[in-house]
This record gives sequence, structure tokens and C-alpha cells, in this order.
Amino acid sequence: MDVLKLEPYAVTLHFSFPDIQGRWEELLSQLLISIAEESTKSGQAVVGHIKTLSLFPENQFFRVSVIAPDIPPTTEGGVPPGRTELVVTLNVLIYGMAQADLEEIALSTAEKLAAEWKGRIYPET
Amino acid sequence: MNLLLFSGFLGSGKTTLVLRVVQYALEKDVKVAILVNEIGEVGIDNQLMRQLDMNVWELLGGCICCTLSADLVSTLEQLDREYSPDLVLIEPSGAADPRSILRALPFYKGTPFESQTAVSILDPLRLEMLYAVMTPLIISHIQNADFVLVTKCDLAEDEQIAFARRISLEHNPEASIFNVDPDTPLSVLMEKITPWMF
Repeated sequence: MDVLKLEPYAVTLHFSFPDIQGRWEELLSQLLISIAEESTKSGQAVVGHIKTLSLFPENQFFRVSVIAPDIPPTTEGGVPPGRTELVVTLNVLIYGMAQADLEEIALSTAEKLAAEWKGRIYPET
Repeated sequence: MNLLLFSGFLGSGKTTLVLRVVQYALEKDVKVAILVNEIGEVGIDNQLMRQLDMNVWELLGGCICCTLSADLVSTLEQLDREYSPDLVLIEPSGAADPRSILRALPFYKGTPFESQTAVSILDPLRLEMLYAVMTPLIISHIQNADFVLVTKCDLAEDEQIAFARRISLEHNPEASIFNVDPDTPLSVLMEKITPWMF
């Protein structure tokens, strides 16, 4: 197993979910867990850390973090009520996978999730 | 200037603990600077620390233990000249080998450190797997520590915590080992790790 190769992938994602009704923690947790599952299903990769951060006025933030598909995500902070849009920094640190593969997994997972949750997730250009 | 190095594998709970330690130090009117090195194109931890109005200095463009050792030393010297903190807290990337960082410190030519303490953080939830596939890095985290903190003890099984303590003792019998969870009073830890603060 080529566990020593670490090619970090990071992206800023814009989330737009008109019907989210405050379920941001659930949505982001599902995104990170799905990325972890997709990345490790071949058995050739080890999750280092997959995490997101969103910043809000007045020192507020929301951070979600996953270290394995079978360990529940941890969260800190929270999203201010009533928000239907979010800017999220996503960092994917996984040993044993090329950055291009991580990008493919992250963006395709986000796209599937967006369709499932009836919203949009798109990377900052 | 007192130096505190927090090392630990990715996702071990370093940043969470560092944030608690910094808040604690600030409440004691300790002048703190945080030196962060993150791998990845977009740093998350430094964004969060800045959002919380902390004094963050970032080492960019590589890994602190590989290509950035010289930057670490020059940044410490700059901190000493321009900011004179009571405490410099170094949080390297979870992929960094603390041994390389400690080896670089003797090249620092600023005001001598009043204390230099290395803390290693172990996540018992997946330590057994990481110990199997990342053996040299995990051993280095343990061997280069004055204190080993076993985090997430509220979530881990007793066997997982026992494993973390056992390999810590095996690889570094001199280190002090503490179990930590979100309810652990920080003052208890800080009295051990930073006695100069009291």
C-alpha cells in the first residue's frame, strides 16, 4: 500500500440550498463521510483528515471534520440561522491517492449530494 | 519566550486542543503567538484562528519538517524581534515529523528560550491502524514528546486508550502520559505542561 504519498486537495465551494432549513451539519457531514467512503473503498488509501470551514461575521464559524468513514464527524461552532447559502473551504488529506483523483471524488460527490438535497454546490473559479 | 510544540497525526485533535490552550493562556494575560504550518492549498486552521482574533503566523509553501525548517527558524527570530511573545505555540501539519522540527531549533539565534516543551497528541480511535501503516511517523510523534496526550477519551473504548498508553510507554518511557477529553480541566494539564504560567 502506497500510504506515504500525500497530495492534498483543497477547494472553495459555494453551497446554495433554498430548502435546507438549518440542516447544514447533516449535509456537510454527509459530504465528508461520502468522500471518505469513496476514497477508501479500494482499500488502497488511508484518510488523514477531511474537513470544512465556513466563516461568518462576529467571530462565528462552523467546522466539520472526518477522519474515517466509520467514525462520526466532529463539529465545532454553527451556521447562523436562516442561511440558505454557504461558502465552504474543503480540505481533503488522504494518503495513497493522487490529487486529481481526490478532486474527481470530491466534486462528483458534491454534485450527487446537491441533486439529492435539491440544491447547488459549485467550486469557486 | 517559551516554546510549546504540539505534534500529532492528522485529525488527532491538535487544533481543538491548541485553541483551548491559547484561550487559556490569553485569559492569564500571556502574550501568545501561534506558528501554523498546514499542508494543502487552502489553510483551514489558520483561517479559524484568525477568525477568533488569535495572533497567527503561517509557514507557507511546504512542510515544516522538510522544506521549511529554515523558514521556521527565521520566523521564530522575527517573532522574537518584532513581537516578543511570552509563548510561541507551534502547530505543524499532522503529516510533519516532529524530530525534524526539534533538530532545527538549535539554529535559532534569538533570545534564548526560557522553556521548550514538546507535546504529542494521540487519537486512540484509530491509533492501532495508523500504528500499523504509518509506523515511523507515529513512533516519532511519541519519541519526541515530553508529554503524550491521549485525546478523545470520551469516545474511545478502554482497549483503545490502553493501546495508546502502552505504545507510548514502550517508545518513550520518560514521557508523561495524560488522558484528555472535552471535560478535562485545562488547568490540570497546563500546570504540568507550562508550569511557568503559574
